[in-house]
Amino acid sequence: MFQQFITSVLESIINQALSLDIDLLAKTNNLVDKRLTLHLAELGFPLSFVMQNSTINVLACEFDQCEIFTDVKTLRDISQSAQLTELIKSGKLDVKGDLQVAQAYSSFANQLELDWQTKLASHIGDYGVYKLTQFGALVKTKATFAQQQIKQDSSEWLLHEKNIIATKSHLSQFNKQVLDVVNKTDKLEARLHNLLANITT
Amino acid sequence: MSTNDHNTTDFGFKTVAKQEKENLVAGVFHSVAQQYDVMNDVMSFGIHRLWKRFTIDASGVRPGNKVLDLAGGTGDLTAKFSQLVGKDGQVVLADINSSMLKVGRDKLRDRGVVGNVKYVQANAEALPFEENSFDIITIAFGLRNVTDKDAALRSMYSVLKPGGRLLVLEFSKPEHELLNKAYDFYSFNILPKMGELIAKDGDSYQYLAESIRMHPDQETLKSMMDNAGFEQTSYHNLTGGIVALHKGYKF
Repeated sequence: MFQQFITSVLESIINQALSLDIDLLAKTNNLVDKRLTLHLAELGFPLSFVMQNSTINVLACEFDQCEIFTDVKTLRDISQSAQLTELIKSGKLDVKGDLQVAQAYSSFANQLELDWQTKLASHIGDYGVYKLTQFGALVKTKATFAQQQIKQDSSEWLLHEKNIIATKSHLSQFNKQVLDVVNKTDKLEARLHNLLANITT
Repeated sequence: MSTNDHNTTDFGFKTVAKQEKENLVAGVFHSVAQQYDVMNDVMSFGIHRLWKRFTIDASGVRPGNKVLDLAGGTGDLTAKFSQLVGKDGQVVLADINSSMLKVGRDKLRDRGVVGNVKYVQANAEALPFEENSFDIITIAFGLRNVTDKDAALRSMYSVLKPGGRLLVLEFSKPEHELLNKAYDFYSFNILPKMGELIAKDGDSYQYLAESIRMHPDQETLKSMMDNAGFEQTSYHNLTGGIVALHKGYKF
């Protein structure tokens, strides 16, 4: 019953998120009676999505209307329904059944506008939401900066402290040395040919 | 289920006249109807919701299907089926107990589940529907309360369409002895006290524990379904066999 636990949690999370969209009913009209089955390589059982009355039902069974075979990483890469065709051509995604159902769900996901701010404001007030949004932006900026710094510092460390990575000047010096050896070898080979020629005559 | 003679049957561990059982069971469910959902969550720690989800997943329901949710009570399965059969399908919530039916109808209507749901007070032993009417019949935690289970299974077979399937979700016999002992302790010592505390009715939950022990085990129920005419019957144990989902087809 692990599958049912997963579908139960997913269904709850998705529907709570959907309730934050202010124009949900209009957006879900296109999905009524459209059943999408997702076969994710990491999961081991199918996940089916059925939209009815602005509520998503998530089931651990399969329907043959539209089945998508893919993995989690590729799913994250889908941001537009036009990408579906590209991903199918590249072999990262396989669709059985009605492609329009997959496009309809993809289009729906892109149209969502989750107004979490209004929902949160009812609990902590507008000023609270404003400060939280500012704080969130500040944390994101600092985290991005920290990530860049760490990347830069670790490159410097590998290069100068541990000498694991060779610099450009080291590489060009090495290449010059290799060329010198090649030239010397060519000269030696020429002298050997001359000597052999003299011996045979 | 054990009977002393043709005119008696079990009501939990007691032996009663067959005509009496229906009234006794009715009394139980009239009493527990209002707290039925809360008690289900408390007694099973919410796991009953997963058992019911498993049943839905196993049903193979499609848009446009006609579903009979027998002993549907407070409508857990009906609510989900209503979403899945769509506007062209239909779900009939049938229960012999008017109090349970009322609670179910009020709950579903409050949740906006309307349009493709019908409510019928009906006895599972003699279903008031035409033959070959339904694509799917489910009976969740209701069969053990039926006086004549064989008659009920035959009636269900009759109203199922060819190609249709019956799903019986019911308490059954745990697979392992240790689990069985723990389950016995929990059923007979904890449940009635929970019933007394929450539903103010310890006796009804004593009946619950006893009726589970009197219900046929997995293989026996499978045979009963075979005898009623069902084919390709099978069962799947859930939570170590505490609950089993039996499935059978009409061809």
